[in-house]
Amino acid sequence: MKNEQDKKLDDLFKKRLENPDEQSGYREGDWDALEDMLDKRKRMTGIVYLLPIMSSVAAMMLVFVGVWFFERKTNHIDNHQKTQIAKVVAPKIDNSTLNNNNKPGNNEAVLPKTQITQQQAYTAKNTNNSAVINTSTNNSITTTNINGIKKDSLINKGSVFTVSTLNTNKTKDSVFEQTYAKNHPLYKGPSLSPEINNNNWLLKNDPLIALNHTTNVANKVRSPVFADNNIVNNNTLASTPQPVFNLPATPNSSAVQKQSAGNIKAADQQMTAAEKSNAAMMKLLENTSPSNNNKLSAKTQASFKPRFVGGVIGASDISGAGSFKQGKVGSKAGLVFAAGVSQKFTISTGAVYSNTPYAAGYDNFSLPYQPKVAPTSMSANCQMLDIPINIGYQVFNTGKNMISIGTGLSSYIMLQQDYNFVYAGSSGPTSRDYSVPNSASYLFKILNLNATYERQISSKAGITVQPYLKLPLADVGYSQVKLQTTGIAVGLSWNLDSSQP
Amino acid sequence: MGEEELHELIKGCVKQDRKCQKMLYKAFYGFAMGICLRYTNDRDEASGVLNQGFFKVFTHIDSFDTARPFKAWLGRIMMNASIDHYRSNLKMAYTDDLDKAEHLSDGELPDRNLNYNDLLVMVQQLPPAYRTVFNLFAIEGYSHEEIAVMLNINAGTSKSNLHKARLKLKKMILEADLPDQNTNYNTRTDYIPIVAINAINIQGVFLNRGIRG
Repeated sequence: MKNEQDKKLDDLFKKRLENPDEQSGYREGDWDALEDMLDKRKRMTGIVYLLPIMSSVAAMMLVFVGVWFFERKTNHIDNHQKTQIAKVVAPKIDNSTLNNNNKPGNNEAVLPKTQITQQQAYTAKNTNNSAVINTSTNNSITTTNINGIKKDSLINKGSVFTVSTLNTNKTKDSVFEQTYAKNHPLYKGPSLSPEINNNNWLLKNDPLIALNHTTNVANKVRSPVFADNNIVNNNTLASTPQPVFNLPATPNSSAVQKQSAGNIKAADQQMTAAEKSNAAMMKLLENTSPSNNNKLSAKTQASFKPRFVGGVIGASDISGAGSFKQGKVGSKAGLVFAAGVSQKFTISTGAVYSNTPYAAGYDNFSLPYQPKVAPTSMSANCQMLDIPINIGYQVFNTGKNMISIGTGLSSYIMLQQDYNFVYAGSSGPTSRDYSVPNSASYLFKILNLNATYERQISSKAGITVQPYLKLPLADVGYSQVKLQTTGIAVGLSWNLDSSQP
Repeated sequence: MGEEELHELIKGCVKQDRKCQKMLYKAFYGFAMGICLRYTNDRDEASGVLNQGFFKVFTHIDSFDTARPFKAWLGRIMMNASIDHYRSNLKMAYTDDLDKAEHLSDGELPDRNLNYNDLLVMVQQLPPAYRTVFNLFAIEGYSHEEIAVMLNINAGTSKSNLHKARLKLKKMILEADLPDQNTNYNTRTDYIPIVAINAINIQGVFLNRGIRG
């Protein structure tokens, strides 16, 4: 009887409600609301599609920063090498140098590659004047620009002066530099003593040096030029007394003192200090022996070149809110990109899709609203994109095996958050599911700590094993948890730089 | 709307053509609203659920099998959207005067010609937990076991909620049949079904009155 009554009631509602006599009228406002939802989704979809592009842009920026960092280092090396050469022409300093601003970057003396392999070490920019040492077979030196010669030589000397005071190497050259600085005309005045010398570049009776004394001011040819003694004498030295380089006798400066001042004067009475310096430079170029080249080359080879590595990783990890007591096992997979910005440091980034389940008690999470009945615990499963930016420091490297440690920050982009909240009750626990409908971004809220072991399996490829720890800097997710993760990632890396194995 | 025209509209919707989407929306607005109204308290709430349902339709329409009836697919999506809405609003608790209802006799239902709007208003006045189970069981035809899975509750809770829903509906029908009361369910000015419970008695209501009990 009761069942019949129930069935009758059910049928009554089913019949009428299933097939309504009249349908609700269409409202344009409802469509407008839906259209807004669809448009919003379109924008969100656009952002999601842009994520890989944004990641690529970020990676490219990192690369440029790395290259810029590398370039600065290279320039530093170049300047250092430049000073080594510049000190050779130091005797050319005259008093006018003192009025010159010492800017090593203004130096200009381009050497043919056949003589000196480190061409860039001798190269600098001077927009107005150029002076090129030509040590071709006829050893001819012509002049095209008097001012260029003068200015160039002055600038070179200026840079020598600057650097030599900074150089602390206790080598023969450094002693020379220090002595040179002490005896610079700035301190000693214009008395002439042009005996700057070295074992390798004696000026006296050297058949290889043939200085061109032709005064050809009208020569407009921008041919390799270094110096012209007459011009220097007539235009520069005539009005400017020559500097003094009276080197004191020190045990370490035997090379400098091997030739006495008197001997030099006797041999080169007609030569000015500028001539000697030019000749000395020529001799230096002549004597740029393979060993010297090797020395410079070795420096260059030792210098760092940036290294770009791409790779894929997969990881298994444990995540927990506040602690790992209720940790659950998750997984990650993604692409990584690394740029070595120096021999020891590497900057890396990537996009890693992460499936992160975790559980927490109510003391470890909170809700964005004040619940009327607080849940006792919850379990969650988050699908997210982890975008790390890390810096690594290489602590061990034996060629094939490398160990580095790293740190950095991660941004989480939550793609899907599914929660199950558990409520306590007198009749037992009850639960409620909730899926967060929208994605959310948490930028730089996670601190990364990792150690990486990399083994090269070929000239291009390598395998990596990376234990890692991710610590929260702030709450993340709908449930605002301090999500921490630890795990181990295994990956395959690929050297992207074709020039480097 | 003919089958051919419907398929053309669906094709346009797959291409995210906004005009086709609007035409489909208008064509099935009444049907979909009829479902959503049964699961909600009023028209405005139903509109929100309806749009959630149509949003799913337009974002997943590429997965629709055109060999199957579109109306059934749409109806199921609307039902699921209604259930999702119910689950996402569980933090609201409801009071009811079931004590009175429980004393109702199982006598004959008055043979009164109640129209669609009268019945719809009665269903809408049910607490959401009762209403949802009643809709799923009495109108959609699901079993208590299926409802238990869908709503993540026990089958016993489903039965209990259905029983209470029926009692309340009977009471409303009886009240509607009383000539002196002149109850007008359409105005809805004399009955406020949703009351947020204060924190003191919320657990008792929450668990004992069958929302999740």
